Amino acid sequence: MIIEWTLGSKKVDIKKLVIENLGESKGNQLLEKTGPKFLQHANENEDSLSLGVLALKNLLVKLSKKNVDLNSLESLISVSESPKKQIPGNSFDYISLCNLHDHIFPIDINAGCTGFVDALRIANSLKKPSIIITSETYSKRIDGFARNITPIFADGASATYFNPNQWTTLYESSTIRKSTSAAISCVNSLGLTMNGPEVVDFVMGEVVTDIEKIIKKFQPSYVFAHQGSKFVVDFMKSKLANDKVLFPENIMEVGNTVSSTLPILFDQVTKASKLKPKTRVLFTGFGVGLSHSAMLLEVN
Amino acid sequence: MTEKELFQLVSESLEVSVEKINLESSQDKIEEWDSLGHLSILSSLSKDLGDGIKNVKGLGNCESLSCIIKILKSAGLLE
Repeated sequence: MIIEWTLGSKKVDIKKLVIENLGESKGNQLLEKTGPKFLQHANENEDSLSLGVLALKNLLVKLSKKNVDLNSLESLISVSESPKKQIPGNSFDYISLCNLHDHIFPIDINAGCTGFVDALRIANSLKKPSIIITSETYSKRIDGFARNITPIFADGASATYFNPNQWTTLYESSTIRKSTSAAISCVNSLGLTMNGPEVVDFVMGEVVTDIEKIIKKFQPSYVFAHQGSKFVVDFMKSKLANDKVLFPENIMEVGNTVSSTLPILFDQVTKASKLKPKTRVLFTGFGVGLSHSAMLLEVN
Repeated sequence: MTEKELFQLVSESLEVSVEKINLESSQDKIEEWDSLGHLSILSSLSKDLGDGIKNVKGLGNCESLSCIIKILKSAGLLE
């Protein structure tokens, strides 16, 4: 996988905002659970498309330097719950604005924190390489301060070149907890809400159980888990990490960028240390739905 | 875990006196029991109950102590 990513350009002092709204004591208690003290948000000129285009353009430069044949691309998969237009999805504009070839297969997925894994599963089912673009601007879905949301979510985008021939799939799955679509939802443009305890209940139940089974059966070297909040990351590490399974995290530095958390984390880790053949990597995304998508890949 | 231990856990999670915790306790009656307080309760339960908590569904939606007791009892995690 070759990845480029970007965050919104507006730096927000989350600690200051939280304490202004909740007071010193409650504010600090909340920050212990949420994590980041600063987050990057999209400015008034940025949206999911512009952030995605920036990430994609940077990726194309990188691919060009590596002599990747862009005519071999089979699909461009865009993941966003905040597309710039209601019709069509961002994928068509990515293809036009970055002048990709005319026969690329555009796919738009409306998915949240599972989105990167969902897109990987689709890209992996194709014969040729694909580009996956995740892009989200949750900060534009909130009117003012929302204690469950403002301290967690950052705006950002990623662009990933994925060649299915470089990986072997060992496992993939989806889990949905029915009748919980209201747990994280947005019924109008500024109405994003999240029931934190219900999400945590799902993580403590189905998500940890799913991952535990996968780790036991396949013993991956890395578990790349969605960076929901510090509370969620700490909880999962306490239940799942051991001396044989690395559980990277970046929630404190980057925040929760929804569908971009996994590609950003993967890029940070693999830039520092290239994966060797036969390395097993588990991607696990969970949240909106409530749903959990998992995919275990082995480097060829 | 016993009911007495659960009362103590809820009291410590919400940072309120244990005398304030009883079978009638709920989010409506205890100001400190907001969503943040509820996360603290869930966190403490996961520490105290270990792997048993993974098989329990619905604690996230509980708004009262009686609801938590009912779910934990039906899962065999509360005496």
